[in-house]
Amino acid sequence: MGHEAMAQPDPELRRRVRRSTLFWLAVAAAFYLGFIVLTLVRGAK
Amino acid sequence: MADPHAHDATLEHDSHDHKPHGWRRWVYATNHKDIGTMYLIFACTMFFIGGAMAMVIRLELFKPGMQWVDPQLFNSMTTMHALIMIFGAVMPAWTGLANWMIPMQVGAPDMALPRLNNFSFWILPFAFTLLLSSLFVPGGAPAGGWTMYPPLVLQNGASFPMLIFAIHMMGASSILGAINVVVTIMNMRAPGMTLLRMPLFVWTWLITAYLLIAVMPVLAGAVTMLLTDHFFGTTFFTAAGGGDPVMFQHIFWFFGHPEVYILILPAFGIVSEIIPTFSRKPLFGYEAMVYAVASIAFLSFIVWAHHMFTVGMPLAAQLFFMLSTMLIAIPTGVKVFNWTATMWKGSLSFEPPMLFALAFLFLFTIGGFSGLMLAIVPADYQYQDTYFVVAHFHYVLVPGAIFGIMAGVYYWLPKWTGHMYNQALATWHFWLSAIFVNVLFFPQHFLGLAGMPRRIPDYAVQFTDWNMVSSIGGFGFGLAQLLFPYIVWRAVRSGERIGNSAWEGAHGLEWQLPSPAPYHSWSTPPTDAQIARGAAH
Repeated sequence: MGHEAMAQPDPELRRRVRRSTLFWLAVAAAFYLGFIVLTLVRGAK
Repeated sequence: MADPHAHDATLEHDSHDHKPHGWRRWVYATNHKDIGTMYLIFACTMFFIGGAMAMVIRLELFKPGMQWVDPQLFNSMTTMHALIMIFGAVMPAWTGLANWMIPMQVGAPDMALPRLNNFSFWILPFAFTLLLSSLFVPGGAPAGGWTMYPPLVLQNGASFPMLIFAIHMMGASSILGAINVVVTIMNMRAPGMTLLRMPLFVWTWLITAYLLIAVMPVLAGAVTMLLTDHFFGTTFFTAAGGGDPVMFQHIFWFFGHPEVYILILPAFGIVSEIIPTFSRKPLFGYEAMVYAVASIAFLSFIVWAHHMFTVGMPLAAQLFFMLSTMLIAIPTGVKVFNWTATMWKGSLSFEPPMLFALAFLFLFTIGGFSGLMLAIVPADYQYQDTYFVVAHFHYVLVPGAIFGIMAGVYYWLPKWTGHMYNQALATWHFWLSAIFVNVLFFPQHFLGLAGMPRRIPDYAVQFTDWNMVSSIGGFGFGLAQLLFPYIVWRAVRSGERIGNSAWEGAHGLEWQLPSPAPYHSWSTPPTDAQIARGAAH
């Protein structure tokens, strides 16, 4: 794997990288919204 | 598998190919080493800005009475010092070290997401320019403490939205950086680099990154609610509208306690690399160390209320949080004993990285012990909001996190620059830091036990002597740190050239690359033999 190979990485690796990036972004967003919703629910009681 | 010498030739080619020059190299940087360097320079700059604020605090507290600054500015200094040191100095320093070392240690050419990496870094200068510029707006900089408790924080003037926006930007930067670390480690490891062959620094960063992804959004959620309470008429934390200010404290510390481990876990990784190198022995109990770090990270999610025992909570909750906090001593003890066992009958030598690692081991343990004292509910009722707490967390964060960073920089600087630094001067830096850090923070235990409250610009006369000693320690520690950029600068400019490995006992993958490391670290994956040699634990 030389410089050219790094410019065009393995498509399967690209897919895996994209998939795991989106997954962890979704986890972060869930924690962000989850705690706001949690506070709303607790406040509504 | 490829011959390592042929591989070096490829790297030489790469290092002269397609490399941007001038300002574009930094602004458009996608190379992990360039971004790592920018993070480290940024962190060092923030360390000195935050340190200057600490000097203002210690100057004012040198004597009782009001000397130099008014109480509002004093409160701004304590608040800004904490925000800058935590989010501007320690966290970016770890990200800088992660950027430099993770690709080299897992056998990858670069981080998995180089453009995101660039974005993560370049958010930070804007965030901190915004935060620092709040010093000059009407009402002054945020002064309600870094914990931002409502309703006090809602009384900040024009600086309030600046604080909230700056926190959001820092949070976004940390989350994106953490995602990059997780994705790199999970997808870019060289064939044969199994999880249990990874160096401890990579392991601790992987676990730190999970913590970051879980808790930084929680902080962002909390400050968003503060923002809407202040500007949009919501009452999340306003009792008059049916909200609950204590709820903020729970949410904040659900972020805040794992944050403490975010600041310290990578130091565990670095110490776990350095002690075996300078003991010339493999790390004792590698797998136990990995499980201990994972256990500490897990426990960090279920101890948050020990920061707020005095706010009032059911006895069962107090008992739960007290005992869960004490449980952390078990995996931490495993780590301390394993580091000690690694040194046992080793062929020790005391170069600057080892000195900082040993000081970490002794002094962080002192911080851990005072943490156990604070975990005891009835005792905490006495210690709460006193200088004892200040002494505790500074023992954890200065000889803990900061010494860990110093140890890491002194360990890997020869690899980054290809030059050895002046070890005599670095040893001076160590001894001055180690002595003055104790002069600075140890007396604060006495002040706290005697009842001196934290976050006050003036105090009763009986606290004078130990405050003077503490301030002298502070000035000495601050001055000693000026040696650090000088040592690094001298090494970059004119240090003695080194070969692949700077240290006799160092075997990790990074030491099998040329020094300075090539532009793309492992453009050909390392061989299984190289990985096995690097993973000799």
